[in-house]
Amino acid sequence: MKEKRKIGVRLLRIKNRIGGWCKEPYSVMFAVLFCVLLFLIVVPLWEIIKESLQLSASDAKRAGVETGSFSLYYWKQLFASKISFKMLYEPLMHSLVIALCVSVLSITIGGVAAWLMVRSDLPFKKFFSKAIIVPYMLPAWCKAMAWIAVFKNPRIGGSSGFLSYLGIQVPDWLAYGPVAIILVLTIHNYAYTYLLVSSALQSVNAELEEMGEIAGAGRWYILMKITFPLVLPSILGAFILTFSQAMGTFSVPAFLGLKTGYYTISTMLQSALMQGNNGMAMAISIVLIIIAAFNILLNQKLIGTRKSFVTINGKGGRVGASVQLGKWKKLITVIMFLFICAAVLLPLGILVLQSFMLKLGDFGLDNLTLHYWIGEGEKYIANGLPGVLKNPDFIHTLGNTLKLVFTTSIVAALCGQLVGYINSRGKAKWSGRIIDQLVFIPYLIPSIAFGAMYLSMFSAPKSFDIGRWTVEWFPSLYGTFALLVLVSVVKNLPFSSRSGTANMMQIGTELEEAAQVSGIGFFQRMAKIIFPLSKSGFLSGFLLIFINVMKELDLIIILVTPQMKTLPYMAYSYLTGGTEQYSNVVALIMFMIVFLVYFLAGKVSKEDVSLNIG
Amino acid sequence: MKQIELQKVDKYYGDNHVLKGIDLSIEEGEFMTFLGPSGCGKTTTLRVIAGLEKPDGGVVVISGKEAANAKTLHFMAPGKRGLNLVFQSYALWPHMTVYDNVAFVLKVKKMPKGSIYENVMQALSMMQIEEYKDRYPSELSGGQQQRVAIARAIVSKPKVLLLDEPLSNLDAKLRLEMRSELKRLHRELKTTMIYVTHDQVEALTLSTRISVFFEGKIVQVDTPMELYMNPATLQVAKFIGNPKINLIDAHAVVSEEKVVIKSMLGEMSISKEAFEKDLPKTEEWDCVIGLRPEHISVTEEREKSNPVSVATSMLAGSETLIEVEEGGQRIMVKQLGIQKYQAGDKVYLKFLPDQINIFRKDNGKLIKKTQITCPQ
Ligand SMILES: Nc1ncnc2c1ncn2[C@@H]1O[C@H](COP(=O)(O)OP(=O)(O)O)[C@@H](O)[C@H]1O
Ligand SMILES: [Mg+2]
Repeated sequence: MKEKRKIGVRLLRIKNRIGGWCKEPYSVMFAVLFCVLLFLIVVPLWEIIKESLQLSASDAKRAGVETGSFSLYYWKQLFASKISFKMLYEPLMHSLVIALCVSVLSITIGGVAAWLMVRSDLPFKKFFSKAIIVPYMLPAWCKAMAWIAVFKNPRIGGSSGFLSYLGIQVPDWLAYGPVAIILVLTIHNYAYTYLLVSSALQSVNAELEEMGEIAGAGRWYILMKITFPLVLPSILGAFILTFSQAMGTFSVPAFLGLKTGYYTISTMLQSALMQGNNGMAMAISIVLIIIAAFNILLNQKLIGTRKSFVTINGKGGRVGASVQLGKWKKLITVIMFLFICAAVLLPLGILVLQSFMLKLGDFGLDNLTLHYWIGEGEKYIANGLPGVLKNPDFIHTLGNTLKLVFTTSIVAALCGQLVGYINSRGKAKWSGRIIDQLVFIPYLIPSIAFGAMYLSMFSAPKSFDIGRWTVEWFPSLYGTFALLVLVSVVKNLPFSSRSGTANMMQIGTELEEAAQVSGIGFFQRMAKIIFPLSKSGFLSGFLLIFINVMKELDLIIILVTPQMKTLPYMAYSYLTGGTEQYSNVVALIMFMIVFLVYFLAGKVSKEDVSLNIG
Repeated sequence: MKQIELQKVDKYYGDNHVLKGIDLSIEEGEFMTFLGPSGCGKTTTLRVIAGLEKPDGGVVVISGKEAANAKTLHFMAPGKRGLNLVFQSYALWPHMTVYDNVAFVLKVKKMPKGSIYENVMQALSMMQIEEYKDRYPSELSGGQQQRVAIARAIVSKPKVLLLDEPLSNLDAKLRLEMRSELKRLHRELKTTMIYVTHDQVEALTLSTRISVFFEGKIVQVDTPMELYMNPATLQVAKFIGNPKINLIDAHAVVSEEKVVIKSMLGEMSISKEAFEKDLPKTEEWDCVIGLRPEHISVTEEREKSNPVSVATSMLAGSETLIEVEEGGQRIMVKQLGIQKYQAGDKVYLKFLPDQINIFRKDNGKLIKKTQITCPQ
């Protein structure tokens, strides 16, 4: 009798546990999200590792074993063979030097600019604050293009650049190679540092500094001993961010390095892929991933929390009184203007100018033409390719790109909010933490490796056999729109979920519980309370992804097909095809779209969206 | 009829044992207050009752129905328990006007439009905030937000209303005003109310009964008067009352019918019948006398007790707080009116032995209650 009752209780427990679990929206959402993330993030990661340890068809044939058999061949090749130096060590050294220099330079420039903007009496602040983040809207490779247009010298081939045209001899080391790469990447990346440090500075409460003043400390002393330590976490965060970005970036070193045979680890990765040496490419990807992971770990040790790398939350009270620049004011203002010219106006100006030049390298007035914008096809120019706006291929690609960017941004922002919801509601639970860790992984994987990963994972349909039947449970996605959306959404998940989490954290659980105790169901709570309250966060998440995806080249460069391509790829292929002017036109149109969206979003939402970028 | 019953409720947050076997039953129509210092588990208990937290042990019964049973893992959804909650933070939905905040639940439950309006306006007028119905929460003062939060909770006519430190974010004057407002609300609505606070004055003035929490346990459940006059343990005695109760070390000798208590107050002989059952088994034991400052007075006339000397004398408006000293122990006396004493004055203490509490020294339990019958 007693036994029986015990069993009864146990059965009831099981029934109630399962029932309760299914009724709990949190756990259902968690389960679904967990499986999806596993499939989209962990499985591809596993595939990379697997591919680096399996012999490809041709290598297997040579070795006389079966295709796909386990082997450390690629790893040995990479680390301990005659080609290791050329394949790994030299490019790795190049990448590390570049990343280090870019980080140091960006932080110096971004940090000083942030301090000037937030804490000094610099004039024209409004203009500067807008202009200074424009580089962020222009893809890095556009700047590389502009660089080439200015510094190109005829010795390396092709037409001459602006300086050569003026008769100035540009040395090779300045035109191509590490110096060019570092400078272009710095001009691209300082905006991150600027945004991170300036929002940190704004959150430093004036009273903290005033306490120092009351204690009789000098300005310099206060800056070094109070302000600087307070913003140090975000400086370190910016350092890690910039370093990782510079390490994994592909397009700039490709534009500015390949011509002179200067390889970085990411261009090496791409060339291995292009040669069909996938095993090697995957092994290089893993090296890159490990470096990124190490980087994050270091950051965690230094700052204590991994989260500080992207956002600094909470604005403090009052920002302290402006520091008088005094006699330096004029000089600093001039320097700022010059910097803005060099970083913002010059690249844009060059792009515009080139897009009107019939023949490259001829900067004369009679060389100007609208042909590349709106010309009909003419036989002697680029094999009769019409101007960009008259080209049906462009119109098609534009439509495609917009479709991709809007779809991705909406999906990614929604996913970000969803992950944010799980993260913020499951802060103390293992389930919340595991999601938090999972969505972070794509950040570690360089774009180009990520693209490669998705290529190998989704180029063939996924299926399994039951007896004689083959069940195809996931179709091949190669060359489809869905693949581009998928890869862009997943790669941007760390950003969108970071913004989603920050957003959801602001919506206290009690707001939801207040409805829960009155018996309002989960979907009603979502629709009527959570969603309306997360609108502005959604918008900034959307915008962040929009700009990222619009510019994206590295990620999709190996996934696009002639039918399914985007504007950045179109510009890239024009450029590599030697018709730079078309490329310039496409890049400019892209920039205008980004700028317009950014501007409109600023009008729609009251907050300053720029603070949420980066 | 019992409205809510908690049986051996346990709750853990990780390794932190937050509720340790809570037993409590609350009658219909009661104004029950959970009183205790910060972090002792009051909010957690409230949330367990509301269904926002699941207990790890024990049973919760609401209106005769099992609402939570940790053994069978049966947990009724919060919305089905017929109660509502006013959060400490108010948790007003910032994107809805006052009217919409209050009407939201009725709208979702698809009540006809006319009766929504009627119900909402009734709730708003009960809280006297009709004129703010089109404002957003951010356009209201703290006290007005508080009223909206209560209106939102009562609009669906819950059988039980839970309030978590509702007055803690208000300034002193508003707090007084809202206190009487809550009392009126309880009278008019006649719902069972459970009220959480760490403020003893609030608890003593509002409640029909008070549960005193310490470190995840309920140590006493009583009416305010009983709680004040006869705190169940030394810990409760120290917590309730301002100025604090005087605790005086004493020694007891038990004889046939009497217990003789010796202390700085002199020797008292108290009939054995006045004591509770659980006296120490030995003939002599140590104990602690509890005596409220307002139950003592000082006089210059000679009394039976030993003379003591005045340490400080502080005027506090309508009363005077006099601290006297004897043999290193201090006693606070609260006397009406303005008294003029200088430090060092020799005085005598006057009090009724009926008005003292006696606690066991070893486990702090109350063994002698005060002997006045309290008018309810
Ligand atoms: N969500 C939670 N997670 C972990 N610990 C909690 C949580 N909520 C409360 N606690 C802990 O439980 C204890 C009791 O908290 P609470 O019930 O809020 O106390 P009270 O309301 O009496 O001040 C505290 O020690 C608190 O730190
Ligand atoms: Mg509390």
